[in-house]
Parts: sequence; structure tokens; C-alpha cells
Amino acid sequence: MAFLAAIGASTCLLLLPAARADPAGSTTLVTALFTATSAVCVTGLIVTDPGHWSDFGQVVIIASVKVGGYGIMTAATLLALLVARRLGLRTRMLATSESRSLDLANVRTVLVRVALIQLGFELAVALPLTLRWWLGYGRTFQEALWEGAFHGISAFNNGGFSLYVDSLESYVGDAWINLPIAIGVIAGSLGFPVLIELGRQLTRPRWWSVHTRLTVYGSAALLVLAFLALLVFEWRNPATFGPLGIRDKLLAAFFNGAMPRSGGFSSVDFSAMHPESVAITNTLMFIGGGSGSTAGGIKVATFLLLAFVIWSEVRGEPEVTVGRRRIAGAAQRQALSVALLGLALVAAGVLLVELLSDGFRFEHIMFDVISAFATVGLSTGVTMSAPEPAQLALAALMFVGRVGPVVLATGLALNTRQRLYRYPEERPIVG
Amino acid sequence: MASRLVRRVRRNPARTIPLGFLAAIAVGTGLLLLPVSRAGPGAADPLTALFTATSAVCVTGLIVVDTPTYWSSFGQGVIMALFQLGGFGIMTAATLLTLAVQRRLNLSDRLAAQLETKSPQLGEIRRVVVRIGATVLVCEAVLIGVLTARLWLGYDYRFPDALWHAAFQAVSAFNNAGFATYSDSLIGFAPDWLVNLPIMAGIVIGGIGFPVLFELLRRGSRPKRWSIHTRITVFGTAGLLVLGFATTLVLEWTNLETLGGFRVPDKVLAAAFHSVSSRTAGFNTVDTAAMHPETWAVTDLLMFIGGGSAGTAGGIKVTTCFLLAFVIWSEIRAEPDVVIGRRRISSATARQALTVALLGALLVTFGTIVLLMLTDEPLDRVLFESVSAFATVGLSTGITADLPGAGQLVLVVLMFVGRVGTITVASALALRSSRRLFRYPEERPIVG
Repeated sequence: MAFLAAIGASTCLLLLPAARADPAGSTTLVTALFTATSAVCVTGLIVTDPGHWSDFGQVVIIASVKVGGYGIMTAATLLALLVARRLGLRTRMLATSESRSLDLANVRTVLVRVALIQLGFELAVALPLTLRWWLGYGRTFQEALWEGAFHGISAFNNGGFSLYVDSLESYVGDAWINLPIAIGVIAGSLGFPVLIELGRQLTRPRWWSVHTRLTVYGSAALLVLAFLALLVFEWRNPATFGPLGIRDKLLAAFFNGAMPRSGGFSSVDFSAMHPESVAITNTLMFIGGGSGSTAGGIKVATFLLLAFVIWSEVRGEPEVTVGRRRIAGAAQRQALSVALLGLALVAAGVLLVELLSDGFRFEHIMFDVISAFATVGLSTGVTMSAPEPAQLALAALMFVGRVGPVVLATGLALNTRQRLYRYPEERPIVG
Repeated sequence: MASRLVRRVRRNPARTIPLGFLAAIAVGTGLLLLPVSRAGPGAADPLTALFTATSAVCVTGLIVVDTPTYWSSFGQGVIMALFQLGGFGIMTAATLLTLAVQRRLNLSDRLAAQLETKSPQLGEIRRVVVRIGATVLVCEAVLIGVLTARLWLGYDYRFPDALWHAAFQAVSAFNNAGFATYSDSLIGFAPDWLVNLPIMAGIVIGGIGFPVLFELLRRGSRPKRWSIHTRITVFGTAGLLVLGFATTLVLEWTNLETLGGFRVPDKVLAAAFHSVSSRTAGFNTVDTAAMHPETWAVTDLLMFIGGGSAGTAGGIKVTTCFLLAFVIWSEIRAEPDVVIGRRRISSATARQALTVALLGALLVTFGTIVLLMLTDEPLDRVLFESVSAFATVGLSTGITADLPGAGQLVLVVLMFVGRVGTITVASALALRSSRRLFRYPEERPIVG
């Protein structure tokens, strides 16, 4: 509900004439609604050139991004805390839930800490960006500060909004621009519970909770995978990495490999990439970032949990264990539900957009639909030129993709029903 | 001899069954390489022979060359023998494995006395094999009779010709192979109910699986007393057929290259045929390559799910898919156990279903990406082709024949792994279990 309200307010503000750059022009309702949804859900998909908005409009957008990012971080963290509390109470005798990441005292602490961490990281990203634009590109200090702040906020909140129509494609070889943004996106995608725990015991990986270990190692592995895949697949593609020098190729592969986590900036044209790169990026976007973060997708921990379930099953273990910890059957079932419902949603979205639009390639539609679901913001250009009903479908997908998995997972965890009897077991044939 | 084989299969199913299939493929490739198999002069090239033999033994139906013009009558006979053998092999192997799984679990869980699965407590292995053989023979004989009559009387075929074409198509349909003796598959028969309906019936019966068939024969009219497996398979199959029919009909209604040019009853028939064929036979009465991408997407889904367990159909199987759906449903309703129709499903079974489904998805993704690297075809066509190969369907968007050699090899591997992989993985998972004398403390990562 809070998200809906934020989207509504933001839409109204964007509809004001003051939000447009060209006073004579007009903003259609769909455009405003789409942009507002995209901003509040920290996605970054756009249907208009950023030049369409005035400075006021841009401020509205970036404020929406910040509010949306803060909202989702606090909401997800508080919900996770609630789950841990509730389960903690119920299972106190068993002394099971020993998740150290979530023993924060109360709601206010969480709210304040999230705000501080968010601000700190945004400043850390905005500062080098500002300096670079000021000193390296001859902008005035105010301009550089504005651009640095905009992209800093957009990066840490995994918004993916940029002030330029081609995202960051003009800065493809500039490490001073690329690295801070990539690091901001990665830090933002780890999630608040992980950041807190890392802050407390960064140097002692053996003490990390299972959740932190899953998220950190999983994110690292996915980053490496994306980096290598893009580098190999796009090495010779003249429309993307082909003309770059080796150093720039490495940088571009790292930058664009970090974006599916789910930042949404791009320094090369994703629509010109080979289908195999697009397919890999689709997978990575669907997985997304860490729980309790600004990233979208089904979340790294969910995905790895399922992988461990399969691994345990293949090894014939009686239980699912991750790094000397047992995972309850309920958690496995929740992971399964979140992942498969996400898959169903994406499949439905692809079909819907495919029906509502004409003349796009299947892989491009799939890319933009996953990008919307996982609130990434990368685009192959389908979003911008799709007809309005398809844009509305994407907006709905962003909203559901943003709040859906979090709410669903919590709902599943909190909701229990007692049965005083059990049915006899039966075994259908599998496979 | 037979019992020794069975013992070996039971001791190590994950190794014996793939070996059997490999041997059949090798022999088939050898036979197809003989000059006498080829219609034109010279012998077939090895890759073509290998692809065709794999496609036939795995009852897929993907082809790289035109069956009636490239292969001689002898070659077509070899192909028919191969898919008959492959279909029979997969049915018996899967049924025997199921028996082995249930035996083993019964032994270890006998005290719990929980396994009351009714379908394959048939006891004797030989009896199972004989029954399957008899079922196959009867079904195919009926199909052949009907089709022969139709081709002979309705299309002015000479009787031996009618018999030959009917036999090939009937065996192909019942084994869900999808090979046809016509260059355009069954497009020539699109509006003919008397050809379409028997073939559809053959596909569904062959694909629903022997345990279900047998139980249906025993207690057909009393759905309440069916086992969970039968209920899921029958109702699930029906649901998926209706889904495929409705979406195909709606999405292709105005497509002039597929259903658009037909009269309304023919549209209905062709949509129904496509829906049946995607699980997982591979005949087509309209041009699959000309369909809309959204129809492909739905068909991908149907093909991936496939048919019933221990049948000739491929895919991850209807039960696997619906088990997962019920796991999610139970989770949403916050049930403590996964319950289907007043029966509890153990979490081990649910985990097996998850493993089979996700490994299948992984395999398809992997195959798709490799194919994308090898060709310039768009994603939707490549995805369709690799799902079709994995689920041993045989529908094609027309790119298989044009794939480079390496791409065809990828499809060969997909067909083979898709065929023997799902059943051996599932039973191997169920058969092995390692015990641990200690448990780790529980911890709860944040999901979603």
C-alpha cells in the first residue's frame, strides 16, 4: 500500500507542467505512471528520453528512487526480523534460530541504521563521481555535484536511472565513472542484513551466518560468471566490445556484468549483444541480488538454497545442509514457491507483452520482461517503443516483482496452520 | 539370463539403462550407414545416421533429412524398428525401475507400513514385460487396423501401401516418436478426422504410461479409488491438453499460414492435434515453423512438462510438474504437510521432483546457450528446438536440418540425456540414501 501511495504521489508530481523540460509539450498519463513506478520500484526502465524531464522532474524521479530504495530495504528487513522473532518465539525451546544478523533491538534502530547506511554509501559513490565530472570533463562544480549525486543515489539504490539517454555508454572506458557506480550497485544489492553483519565481522568469514555466506559468495560467483561470459561472448562483437582496447573490454565486462544484480546502467548497447549474452544476462537478472536489499529478482539466497537442495538430493543426504547448518523443510518449500511463482510471472509477462506488441524479437521481449520483474532496468529498447498497454503490463510487472517476493516469502513464513491429523503417505512416480 | 539382467538393472540402474540405449543407438547407426538403407546412391553420412538413430531410439522424431526420400524402404524399416524398440525399452525400463524403487523403499520402511501404492505390485518381472508387450501389441494393432482401412478405402492406396504407411504411422504414434513417411508429416491429412483421431488416441495412450494404463484397465470407472499417481497423471494430462488446445486455437485462429485458412471444425481439429502432439509425439498437421512466437512459448511449456511417467513420452513428466504445483499450493495454504487428495507426499519425493525439474531446466538452458553460440538463429526458434529435443518431442521450427554438425551433436546429446536422464536420475535419487548419525543445528537464511 505504501508503495502504491508513493507511486501515486510521484505520478501526480511528474504530471505537473513544471516537471517537463519543454513547457509546450505534454506528458501522457501512461508515461508519468510508468516513470513513477519505475522509480519507486527502483527499476530504471524508461519510456521517454531523460531530456523530457526538467530539473524539477529529475529531482522528483531521484527522490522517488531514494524513497523506494529506503522503503524496500526497511520493509524487507523489518519483515525478516518479524519472521525471525515469530519463529524464534515458537521454537525457543529448540534453540534453533540463531541468525546473528537480525538481533537488532527495535524498529527505530533499523530505520535509523538503514538511513545512515544508505546515505553513507550514496555519498561514497557520489563523491568520486562528482570529482571526476568536475575535474575530468570540465563541468561546473554545481553541474558535477548534481550529476554525481543523481548517479550516486541511482547506483546504490539499484535504480538504474541516468541523466543521459544512452545511459552511460559515452563513459564506457572511464574507470573513474564505472568503478564507483559498479561498487555502489554491488553494495546496494547485498542487502541491509548482510551489510550490517559484514560491518561487524568482516574479517571473520567463519563466523558469518549462513545467509551472509550464501549472499556474499553467491554474489561473487555470479559476478565472476557474468564477467567471463560477457568477455568471451562479446569479445569480437563490433557493436559492443569489439572496438574497445583490452583494458576497456575488461572494464566494460565487469561493469555490465555487475548491472544484472540489479543496477540497470549500461555502458554498451544490450540490444546489440549476441543472444547468448542476452540469455546469460536474463538468468542473472532473474536471480537478482541479496534479500533485504534494493535489488530485485528471486534473490541470491533463494536460488542457492534450491541449488543446495538439489545437491543434497544428488548426494543422497537425508537433510539439506549448507556449511554445517541444517535448512528446514519449510524454508526449502518457501524458496521453491518464490522461485517458481517468479518463473510463472515472467512467463505470463512474456506472453502478454508478446500479444500486446508487434514486431519485436522474442529474446528482446524476454529481456525487458525479466528486467522489469527483477527491477533491473536494462533494456533492449522494447520498453521505449512498445505500445501503451504493453508498457502498463511492464509497470504492473515491476510492481509485483518489487513487492511480491518479499511479501510472499514473509507471508509464507508467518502463516502456519495446525492439523491434528495426518493423511497416509503415498508416493507418485517422479520423472 | 533375464533375471541376471534384472538384478544388474536393479543394482545399478543409472549405468545399465543408458548402456542399453547406447547399444541400440550404435546398432541403429550401423544399420543406417549401410548403402541399402539409403534411397539414393551411396551411403548416408555418419552424422546423419547417428542423428536419425538417436532420434528414433529416443522416440523423438527430429530429423535432419527427409525420411521418405532420403531413406529406402529398408532404412525406414530400420527406423521403425528402432523407435519400436526404444519405446518398448523405455516403458519396461521405467516400469521396472519404479518397481525396484518401491521394493527398496518398502524394505526399509516396512515397519512404517506407509507405502500402499497400488499400481506396480505386480510381482514378477517377466509378467510385467509380457504385459507391456501385450498392451503395446494390442494398441498398435488396433491403430494399424483403423489407419489401414482409412488409407485403403478413403485414399485409394493399394492395400500393401496402405498397410505399410498405416503401420509406420501407428507405431510412431503409439511410441510418441513422430517420424512419418510423408515429407510434410501429416499436413496432408489436416482435416481428416478418421486419420487424426486414431493417431491422437495412440499418442495419448502411449504417453500416459504403463502403470496408469494398467490401473485404468483394472479400476477404470472408479476415479475415487485410483492411486494418487494415476489421478495426477490423468487429470493433469487432461488439463494440459485442454490448455494447449485452447491457447493454440485462440492464438492461431487468424494466422493464415496455420489455422487461418481452415473452416471452423478443421481449426478445432488441428488445434487439438497440435496440443496432443506437443506431449510429446511430434507429428504436425500445420506448419509449426509458421506459428506465432507466443504459440511456440506455450508449446515449449507443454513439451517441457511432457507426458506420464513410465510411458513413451518425454519431458519432466506430468506428475513431477503437478507435485511441484501442489508443494507450492500447500505452502501458500500453510499446510504442515504437502497433501494431494487426502494423501501426504513425503518431502523426499518433493525434493526429487524439484531436482528432476530444475536439472531439466538447467539442461535446456545449457543446450540453448550452446546452440545460440553455434548458430545465428533467434532465441525462440533455438529454445523450441532444444526443448523439443530434451523432451523427445520432435516438433521443429525447421532449423534442425540447417544446424551445423556441432549443433546437431548438441541435439543428439540433449535427446539422449533427456530420454534416459530423467528416469535414471529420479530412480537413482530414490534408491540411494546415506545415513548420518548426527544433525547440524538449524539456521534460516532469508528467502525472497
